[in-house]
Amino acid sequence: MPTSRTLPDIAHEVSHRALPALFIDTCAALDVIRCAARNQPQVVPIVQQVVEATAHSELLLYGSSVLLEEAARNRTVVEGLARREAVRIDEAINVHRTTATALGVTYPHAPGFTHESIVPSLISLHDQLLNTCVHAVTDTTIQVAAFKRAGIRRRPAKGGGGVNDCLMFEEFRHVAHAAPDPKALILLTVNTEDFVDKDRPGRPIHSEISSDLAGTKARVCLSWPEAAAAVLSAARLARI
Amino acid sequence: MKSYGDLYVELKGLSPEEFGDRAEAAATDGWKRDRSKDDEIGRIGVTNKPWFTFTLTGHHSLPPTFLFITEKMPNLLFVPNVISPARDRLEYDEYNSILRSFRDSVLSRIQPPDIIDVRLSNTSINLASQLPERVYKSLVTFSNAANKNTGSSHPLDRERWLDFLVEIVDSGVALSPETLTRWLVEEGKWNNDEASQLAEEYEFGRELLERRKQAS
Repeated sequence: MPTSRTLPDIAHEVSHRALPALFIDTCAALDVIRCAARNQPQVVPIVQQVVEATAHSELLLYGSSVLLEEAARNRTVVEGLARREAVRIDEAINVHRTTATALGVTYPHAPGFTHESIVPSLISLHDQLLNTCVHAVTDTTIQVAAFKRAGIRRRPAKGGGGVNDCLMFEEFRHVAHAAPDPKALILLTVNTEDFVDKDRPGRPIHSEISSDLAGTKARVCLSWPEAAAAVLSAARLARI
Repeated sequence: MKSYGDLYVELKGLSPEEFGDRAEAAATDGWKRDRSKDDEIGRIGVTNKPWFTFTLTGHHSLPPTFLFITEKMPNLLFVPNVISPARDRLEYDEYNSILRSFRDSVLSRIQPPDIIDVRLSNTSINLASQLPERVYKSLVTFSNAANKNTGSSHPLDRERWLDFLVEIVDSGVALSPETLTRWLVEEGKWNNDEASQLAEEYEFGRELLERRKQAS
């Protein structure tokens, strides 16, 4: 069962345990399930090392108060995508196998294996990641701040929504300001639509996000490899 | 191309607080002012500008909604965002229908009617009218003729793509990479990856040409 902690407790832990800390958002967690479909096989060894590093007290791993609910809500869609892509490959392989057989060309293959059969293992790793995270307890004041942030359309909010993204970011921001001298404090989001300024050269993190973290050592990473480089030891990175 | 609309309310001799009270009294068809949300937001001290939250519930076709109004400048209020607890993000059509519903079921009923002016705009982006004709034509020519699996890599496609880049920089007109990406996907029927790649090329090409223009 995943554990929960209040934001002040998380900030205290980040301040006092002198370990790198990683907050993950829902999209990053769901990337584990769709990593093969999205041509990102490196996510698997990275997440395995993140889980192991957390278990060996080398890393603090956190999720927002809405991570479990959001991950559960979106999981069916993401799992569907992963399965569809895998089935597409299986069907293409069958076409080539049939063609090869007709030509009398040798077509080595493992009978009975399907690419779709990889998906349950990815789901299992995703679940393991969520269970390893310490999840923030909902804080009413932060909820109101997130609601307001979405109301004034301050990133990560954009037109028509973004309350949960705002809540996740406000929780991270709270910890960043309450734990001023962490070893490393990283928010991993792969939601470039909302966190990145696509209209500025180089597509940097949006200024409304970076300015809200100014004066802290916290930073936002936009991919699993970038986050891994920031929080994992050299020995663990060498295993990826 | 659809867009999230802008709703402005010009106050004519009326304070923002009076507007809030009159809008609350006028609200109908499922719209209500949510003073408890206004109080919560006031307590956390995020802003000193007037702030009004309205909710929509029980509508036959629109989801439950929070709509916010705050001050853009003296005597001008605007809706910075509309959110729904039932959606991660509202669709463009839903969002704009909610703005229209608020205009018709709240703002239009404020008494007396001549104390505010309401303006709803930008519910769509039309590059055909926003870009100079030559620029728009060169974009359409490129998009229609290009092989959509290879982006701008074929020599003829490359030539037409570069023509568009030169045209748009020469015209001095603003077009954000994000809007270009959306146009390529929604109107040009490009896939997301190719459209993003083209938008990155556009961003770099534009920066380079503008630098060159400034230097000469």
